[in-house]
Amino acid sequence: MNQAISPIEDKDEVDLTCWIQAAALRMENDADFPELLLQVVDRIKAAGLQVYALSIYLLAAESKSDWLHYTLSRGEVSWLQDELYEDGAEFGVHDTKEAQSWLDTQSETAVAYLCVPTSTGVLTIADERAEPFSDEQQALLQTLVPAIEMLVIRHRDLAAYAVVNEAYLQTRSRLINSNPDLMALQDGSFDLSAESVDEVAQNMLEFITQRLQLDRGGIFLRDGDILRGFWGMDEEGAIIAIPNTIFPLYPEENKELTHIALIARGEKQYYLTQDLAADVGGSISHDFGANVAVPMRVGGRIIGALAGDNFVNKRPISYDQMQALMVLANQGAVMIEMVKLQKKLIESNKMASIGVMSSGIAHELSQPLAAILLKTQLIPRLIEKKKYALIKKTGEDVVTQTLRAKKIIDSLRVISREERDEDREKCDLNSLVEDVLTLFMDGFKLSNVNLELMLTTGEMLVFVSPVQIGQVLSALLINAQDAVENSNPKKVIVRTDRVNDSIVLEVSDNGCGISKNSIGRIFDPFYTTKSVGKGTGLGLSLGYSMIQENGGKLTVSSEEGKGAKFRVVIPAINEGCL
Amino acid sequence: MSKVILVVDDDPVMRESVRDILEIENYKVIEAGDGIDGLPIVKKEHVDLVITDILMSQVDGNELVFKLKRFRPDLKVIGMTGGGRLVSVEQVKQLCPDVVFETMLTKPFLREELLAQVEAALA
Repeated sequence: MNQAISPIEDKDEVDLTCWIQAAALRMENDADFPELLLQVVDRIKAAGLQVYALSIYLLAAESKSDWLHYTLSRGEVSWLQDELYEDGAEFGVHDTKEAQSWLDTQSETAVAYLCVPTSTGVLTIADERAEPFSDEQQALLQTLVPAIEMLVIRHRDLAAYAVVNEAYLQTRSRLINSNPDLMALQDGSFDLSAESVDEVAQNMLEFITQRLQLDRGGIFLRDGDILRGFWGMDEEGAIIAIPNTIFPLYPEENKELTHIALIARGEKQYYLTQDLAADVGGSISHDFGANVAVPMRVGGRIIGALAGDNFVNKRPISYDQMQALMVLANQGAVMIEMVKLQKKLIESNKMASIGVMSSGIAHELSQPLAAILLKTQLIPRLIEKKKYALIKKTGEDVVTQTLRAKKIIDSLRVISREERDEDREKCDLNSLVEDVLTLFMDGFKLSNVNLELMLTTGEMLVFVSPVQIGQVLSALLINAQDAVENSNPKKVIVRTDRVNDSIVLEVSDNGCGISKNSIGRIFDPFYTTKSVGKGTGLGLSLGYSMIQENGGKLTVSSEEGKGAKFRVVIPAINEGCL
Repeated sequence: MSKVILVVDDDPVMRESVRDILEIENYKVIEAGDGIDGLPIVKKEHVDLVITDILMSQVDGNELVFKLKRFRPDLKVIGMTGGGRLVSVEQVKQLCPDVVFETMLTKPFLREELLAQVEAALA
C-alpha cells in the first residue's frame, strides 16, 4: 500500500465522531477514562484542531447548581465537583446556548478559547495562539460535541456505579450476623433485588412487615430540596404509592421542621418514639402508635429515609427492630441506586451502539435514495425520447428501491423503538438477525471485515423481546468487529440453527480470542483486562442478563489468538403454542 | 463520436441509474463493480471520464484514482459518496493530497448535478 493514501486506509479514522462514540462504548471501567480522553484529544489534534486544554462542564444529575468539571491540561486529566461561576464565560454559554470564541491576551502568551454548549453542560477548548479559532475549527468541534459528551456522561455513570457497587459489597459484609431477621438478607432467603426501583421498594416494605413485624412501612426519597413519599402503606396495610406526602428539607420559617427531614438532611441518626400519640413534627396529626425513621445511605450520601410504625397494634418498637431497619434502609438504598444506574448504563450503551451504526446507516440509505432520485428524473426524458419500454421498468425500479429504503428504516426501529424494551413477542429470529445485520453491513465493509451469513431456511419462531435480542446481537457484532482488528483476513460468521427444541444464534470471529484466565469472568460486570481486549465487559454482562431475561443462555468458547464464538440458545416455540 | 464514461460502483442499481441518465444523453457508458475491475478497463479501452463510488469492498475509489492517475494523469475523475466524513473534494484533498477528484457528488444527487459535472469535466 502506498504512503500517500494511508490516512484513508485506516478506515477507523474516517469518522472521528464515530471513533469517539465507539470509544465510549468500549469504556467498561471508569479507570479507562483518562487514557481515552487523552486519545480523543490526540485525534482532535490530528484532525487539525490544536488544543492544550480541554474542559468539560457537566451538570450533576441530582442538583441544578452542582457541576462536574473535567479538565485535561497538557496531558493531565482531572475532574472534580465544581460550581460554575456565574460571571464566567461558560455560564453565559450554558445560559444562551450559543457558542463563543475569544482571544485572551491578558497573560504572557495569548490563549484562544472556544466554548460550545452541550445538551447537559459546556465544553471549552483552549490553545496558545495569536488568533481565535477559525470557523472551520469551530464547526469541527461542534460536530464532535455530542460524541465527547457521551464519553463523559458514560464515565460519570460508570464511576457512580463503581461507588455504589463498592458500598453494596460493604454493607452486605457488615450485616449483623446476630440479628436473625437480617440473616434472611444475607443467606438469600429474602432477596431485595429486583428489576425496577418500584419492586425494590415493595420488597423492602414486605421485609418490614413480614420479617421485622412492624405494622407498616414507608419509603421517602430526596427530590431536590424536598423529601417525597415513594411507596408506603395505607391504613389497612396495603402497599400504595405516596407521591403526595412531602416533607420540605428546609421549610420556611413559620413551618415545622420534621424529624424525618432532619434524618434526610443527615442531622439526625434516627428517630424512635414509643409515644402512642406520637409527635411526628406537627405536619401530620394522626395517632401513629410507636414510630421509627432511619436514613437511607449509599456511600456517604443520603438518598432518603425509611420509616415504620405500629399504627394498628400500637405495640412499642424495640431497639433491635430499629437496628435491623437501619441495615435494611442501607441495603435498599444501595439496591435502588444500582437499579437506577443499571438502567442508565443500558441506555447509554444503546445510545453509543446507535452512534457507531449511524454513519453506516447514512451510507446505506443514500444508495436507494440516489437511485430513486435519478430514476424518477429519468422518466420525463424517456417520454421525450419515446423510449416507452424503459418507463415501466424504471417505475418498477423506483418501487423496489423505495422498499429497500423502508427495510433499512424498519430495521432501525428494531434497535430503538419507543415501546418498552422488555416487551416480549413471538418473532422470527432469522428476520430479526437480518434486520440487525442491515445496520452493520456498511460498517463492516468500512473496516474490511468479511461477514459470512449462515442462516437456516424457513422461520425460527422464538418468544423474546426483539429490542433486547437486537441489542445483544449488536453488542456481539461490535465486539467481533473490534476483535478482528488485527486479523488478516478479517472474518465474522453469523449462524443460526435449530437444535432439538432450541434455537441457536452464533457470532464467531477469527480475531484475537480470549485467554484462559479471562474466559471464566468475561460476563462479570466491569471485568476487563488488556488481554481480554476491547468491547467485552459491561456490554457482555448486560447481554448475558438480557438473554437470561428472555429465557435463554449466552455462552462463549475461545482459544487465544484464534478467535471467539458467542452462542445464544433460546427455547423455540412451535406454531399453536401461544 | 460520443464520449466514453466508466461508472464504478459496487451497487448495480446505482450503476444502472447513472448509466441510464448518461446514455439517454448520448454518452457511451462502461460499468465496473469494483475499483479492482475498473483499473484494467482504463488500461485497455479508451475512457474519457471516470465516475466512481468512494466506498467499495476491494479497491475503493481513492485507491482507484491514485492508481489511475499514475498512468493517466490527465484523466478526469468524479467521485460519488454516500456521506460520512469524505463529502467534499477539499476534505479528500486534505486527507490525501495526491488523490484528486475533479468534483464530488454526494448521494443522493440530482440528474442536473450529474450532467453539469460531466459536461464541465469533459469540456
